[in-house]
Amino acid sequence: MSSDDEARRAAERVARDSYGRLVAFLSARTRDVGGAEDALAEAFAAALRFWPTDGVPDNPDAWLLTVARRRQTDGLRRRQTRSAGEATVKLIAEEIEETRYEAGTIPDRRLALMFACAHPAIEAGMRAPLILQTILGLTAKDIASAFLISPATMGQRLVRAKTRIRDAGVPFAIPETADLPERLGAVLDAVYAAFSKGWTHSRTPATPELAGEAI
Amino acid sequence: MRYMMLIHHDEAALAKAPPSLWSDYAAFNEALAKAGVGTTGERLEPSSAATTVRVSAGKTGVLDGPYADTKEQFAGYFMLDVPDLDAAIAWAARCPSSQYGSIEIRPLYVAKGDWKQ
Repeated sequence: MSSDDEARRAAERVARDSYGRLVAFLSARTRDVGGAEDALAEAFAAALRFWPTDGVPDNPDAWLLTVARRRQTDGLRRRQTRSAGEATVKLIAEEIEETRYEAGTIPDRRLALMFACAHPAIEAGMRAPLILQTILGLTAKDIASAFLISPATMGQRLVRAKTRIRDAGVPFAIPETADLPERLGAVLDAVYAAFSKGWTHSRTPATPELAGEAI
Repeated sequence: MRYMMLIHHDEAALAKAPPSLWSDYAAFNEALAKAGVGTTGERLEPSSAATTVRVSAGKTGVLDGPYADTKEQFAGYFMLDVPDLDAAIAWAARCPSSQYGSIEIRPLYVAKGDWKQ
């Protein structure tokens, strides 16, 4: 097997196993899901460029996370005011430090991301598609065919929903006990919708477990 | 994050509100101050005192009355500085005005730089 194949396979495996975990971790602080996905896509592209020559790193998740964080930091520096930018960059630097200490154990924030996607402030019909995209990494095209909407429309609505998560200040957190039953219902509805659309066979074992954790 | 809570009252319902509304409001104001999340807020005179100005083709038009003749009228606002939308929703639900109309929560605009939208 050539190192090219090996690198591509390693990247595919990480993409399949860790996509949602990486997106959730990258967006937890910034609340910017779209930005996190873009940064991660660039990190995967970098992996396909470097891994064939440099070899697959011992901890591919951590490698991708570090590259994606750097992209996010660059992005924030460009678009925010100086003071806000500095604060964010500091936060991110701290988070990278934390991650280095515990290589291989990236905190799992997927449940928090699911609660953000299924927040009552998000249009009900877009909650399941958002979870399918951010947690499982499905493309707008795949999701569109399952929900009988044109891919272009689905793509636009997903972008709009992610912008709303960021701009409205939707929290990435497991809600307070008082709100939990109602909010959990929304998450489960979205998860069931996801299953009923026929994605049961595709790499979803983590989602019911995650939903179960909340109870 | 900084939010504005825009209060819209059903003025007919408000006119029938019991006097306890104002002690409820005093308690709400105190809770905001104590939590350190409420910065400023103002209450407006009812919409019967409103005047609407519109400039069209260089001509200033002045109308008596509010911008839109709807059941619920803009009545005042609170500025909040809270961690996220859930915290803002919790304060809006606690606000006595939420029982006499509706409260819109809007994040204050943040310059987006090179953002797509």
